[in-house]
Amino acid sequence: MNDQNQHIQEDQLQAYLDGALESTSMDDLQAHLESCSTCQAQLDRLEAVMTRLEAMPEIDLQRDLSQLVIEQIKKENAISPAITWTLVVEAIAAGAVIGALIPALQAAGWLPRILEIKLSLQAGLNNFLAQLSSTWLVWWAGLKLQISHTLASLLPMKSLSMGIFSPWILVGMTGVLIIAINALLLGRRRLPEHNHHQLQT
Amino acid sequence: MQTLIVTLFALLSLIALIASLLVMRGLFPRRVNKVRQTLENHWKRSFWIGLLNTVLITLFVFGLAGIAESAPIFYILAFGVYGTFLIGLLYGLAAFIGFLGDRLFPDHSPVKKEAWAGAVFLLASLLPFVGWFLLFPYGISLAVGAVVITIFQERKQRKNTKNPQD
Repeated sequence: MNDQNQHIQEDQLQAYLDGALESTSMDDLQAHLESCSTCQAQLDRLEAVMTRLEAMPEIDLQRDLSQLVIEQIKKENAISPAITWTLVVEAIAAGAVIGALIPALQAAGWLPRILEIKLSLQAGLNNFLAQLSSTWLVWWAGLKLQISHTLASLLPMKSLSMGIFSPWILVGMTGVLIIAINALLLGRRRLPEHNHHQLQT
Repeated sequence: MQTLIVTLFALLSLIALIASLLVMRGLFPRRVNKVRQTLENHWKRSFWIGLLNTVLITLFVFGLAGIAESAPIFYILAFGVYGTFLIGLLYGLAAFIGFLGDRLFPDHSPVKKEAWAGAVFLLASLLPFVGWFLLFPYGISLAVGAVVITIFQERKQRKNTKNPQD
């Protein structure tokens, strides 16, 4: 695109008009446009088309088609009675199978085994959650220690003890950083908006 | 037996995550599309903003959880903040796998391409070290960044609509 011999593609010009390019891409494109008359002409053509399209009057339809379209969509989306009855029969059959299955399982002595599997699943899940929480606690203690060490080495106060680190400091510092960094990255630099009117004016 | 259960649990979690991303897409198509548009237009910026926000919000929540050890009421705040973050992440990931699906499986149907892209991304993220520490954080950062930029853009547009002379 930046090469003089390589012209800007139409979709990129469209994105430029819509203001949907990154500011760096926007700068590159503007630099190219200044030196390339072909692309500038193409951009002018696109802009003219946009302007003409927007200037066109709205045509009133002689007949309101919306109701017909809605009716048609309703017809297409309607569930046929056959499907409804199939669903009802399936639900009854599923209920009957479950109803018959439980006494059958009881008779076959499967119920205690299913309960055993359920208990073992519960134990596995509890174990997994316990491991997760203990990992988190160890990680959190390590993080606290690391931050205390870093603070102690960074700050000139010799009296600073290892226990001075408080989670309040972490919350305060990160809170301020979140606001400051987002304000810096999002606020100052121009973010393109999908509105080509602003670009034209 | 327990290893099997944990493996099964992890696999089910992967399937559930892909399904939840598809549900997000189905429930909020307009919002997901907006995030996706942002992702396509601001790739680099999405990554950096997402990375910083993810790290800082995680530390912020850890701080809150630390405070909650002595004042349990802060658990609510910690869960609230991280819950909001995770909802944003779901939006971002739904947009991200949509984008990935279009690139990897352009001929598939929309649901199929997103399901496959989600599966491919999550499987790639399971690759030891490269997947865990590079690919997955990269995807997460892009997703979060795109959501943050989209929210900011929407606010700015609303503000401009209210005060057109500004």
